[in-house]
Amino acid sequence: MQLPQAIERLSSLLARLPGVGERSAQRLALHILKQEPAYAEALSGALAGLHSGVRFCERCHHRATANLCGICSNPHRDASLLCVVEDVPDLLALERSGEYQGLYHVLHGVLSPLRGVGPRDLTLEALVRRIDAEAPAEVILATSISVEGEATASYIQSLLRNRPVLLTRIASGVPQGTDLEYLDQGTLGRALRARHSLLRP
Amino acid sequence: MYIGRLHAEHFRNLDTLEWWPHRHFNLVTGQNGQGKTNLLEAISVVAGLRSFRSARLQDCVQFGQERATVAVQAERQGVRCDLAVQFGASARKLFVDGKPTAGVSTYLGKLVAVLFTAADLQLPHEEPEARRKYLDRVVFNHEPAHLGDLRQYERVLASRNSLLRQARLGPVDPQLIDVYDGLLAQHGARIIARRAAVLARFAPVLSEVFARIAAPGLSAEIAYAPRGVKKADRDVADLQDELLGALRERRDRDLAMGHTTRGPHRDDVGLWIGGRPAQLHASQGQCRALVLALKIAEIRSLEASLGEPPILLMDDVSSELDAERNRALMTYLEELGGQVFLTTTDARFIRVAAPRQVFAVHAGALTPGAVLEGAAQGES
Repeated sequence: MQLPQAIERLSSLLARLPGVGERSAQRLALHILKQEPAYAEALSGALAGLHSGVRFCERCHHRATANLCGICSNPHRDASLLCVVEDVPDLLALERSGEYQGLYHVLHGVLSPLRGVGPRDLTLEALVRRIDAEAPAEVILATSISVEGEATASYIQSLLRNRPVLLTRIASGVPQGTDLEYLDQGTLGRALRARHSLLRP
Repeated sequence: MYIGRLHAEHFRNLDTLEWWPHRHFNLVTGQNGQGKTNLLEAISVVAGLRSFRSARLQDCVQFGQERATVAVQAERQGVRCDLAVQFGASARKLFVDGKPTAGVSTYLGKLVAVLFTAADLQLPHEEPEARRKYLDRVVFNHEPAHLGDLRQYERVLASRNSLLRQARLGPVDPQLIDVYDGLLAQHGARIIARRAAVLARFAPVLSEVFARIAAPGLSAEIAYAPRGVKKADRDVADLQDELLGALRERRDRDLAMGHTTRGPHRDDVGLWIGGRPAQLHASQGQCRALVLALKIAEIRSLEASLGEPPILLMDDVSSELDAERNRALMTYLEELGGQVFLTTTDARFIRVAAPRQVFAVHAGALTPGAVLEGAAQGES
């Protein structure tokens, strides 16, 4: 061992983070050591308080500090719209778009028999209960455009069959600002199949 | 499209190789075990990043060496292109025109090589999978989107099979299996429809090529034999409904088997000679003529989509064909006008009049012979 144990311990913990390899973990640990001791204390304090200070929103399962998250407790959000997303980063991306003023439901994953993820591993039961209780006018399925995302959307569709709710799926196809010639055939094919009419005879 | 220069290092028994192949015919001769096939393999690896002999590229690294390199200077429609691949213990590295390239998609397609080996002659007698692969290659040549659709279908299929197996261990929501039935039917119908559409255009080409190389009066047909739908040449929506019905009907059986027994992954390609199934009724010579016709038709479909002939790699094919089929094959290759690499233990098997060069392979080393100008064709 070429480094003191305290540094080794920190870097081996940092190396477990996604996208951080052994060498960058070591660099991060050495960097923290170079800062004022107050920084390391603030960092460790922030880490220590993370779990006790964060819980799941009991309505939408987004991360929250209280029983309800900031979005669910905001009276200006449109409660007639419910958007179902795979995970928190997807919710944040939709928020950044500024287009959406409704509420969310976070599944915390997608169905994947290959990885052993079944309906019970997601917040699907809560979703159905919520729709029955809150009766939104529209449920938007914003799971990703992949085999797993499509399977999850399709399963939710079968769960919500016979319920008085408009169920929609986000569009997929040509991204804005893209030249058609640079698109892969799969995306282009999808965009063609999902075309919409501008004029009718 | 042709290879002007090939450089290989530590590739199987080719220690260090510098090769300036002939623009048209390259006859690679040598005794067995000297490295003839290794040369063709090196070309197919640098073109397609896969070996036709082993599943892992690492197996192509010379014993005792860390890594192998294959590099070519190629020309496609008059434009020079340098490709190189390095592989071995560490991660594979790709270079296009000397620049490292991370994406396989920018690399693949720059050099296209078609391989024909003696093993291909068994195609009518192989399992359906071999004929499906042949069909999918032809479909891909016409419509590249096919590959992505196949990958997606395989993922849905693996998911459904995994679910069927989970159902043996404990209860699985039938609605969940419904979901994968729906996706499988949706993706599967597109594959079936595309295979049927391409085959409809391809079948006459095959019949025509076969008529030229087989005995007079004998005809050959290729037909799609789907399992899961009765007729393939229909609307995608109809195919989807029918496939979905077949999956539902087979649900209990699939659950018992632990895998999916209907769908395009079980389809076959029917090969017929003189109106009868080739694998049952045709003679060996007829079957070989049929495979030859299939291969030539595949090359033609590729030529049509590339705008020029692909590079052809023929591994010891001539020794398996009789004199008449050999003549038909060589005549076709001469007409095609592309670059051809043929291996043989005996150059007398190969009767070509086109410009050519013989290369003798001994213990992994190459000795170029004289360039022979064609009798009919000149070369600039």
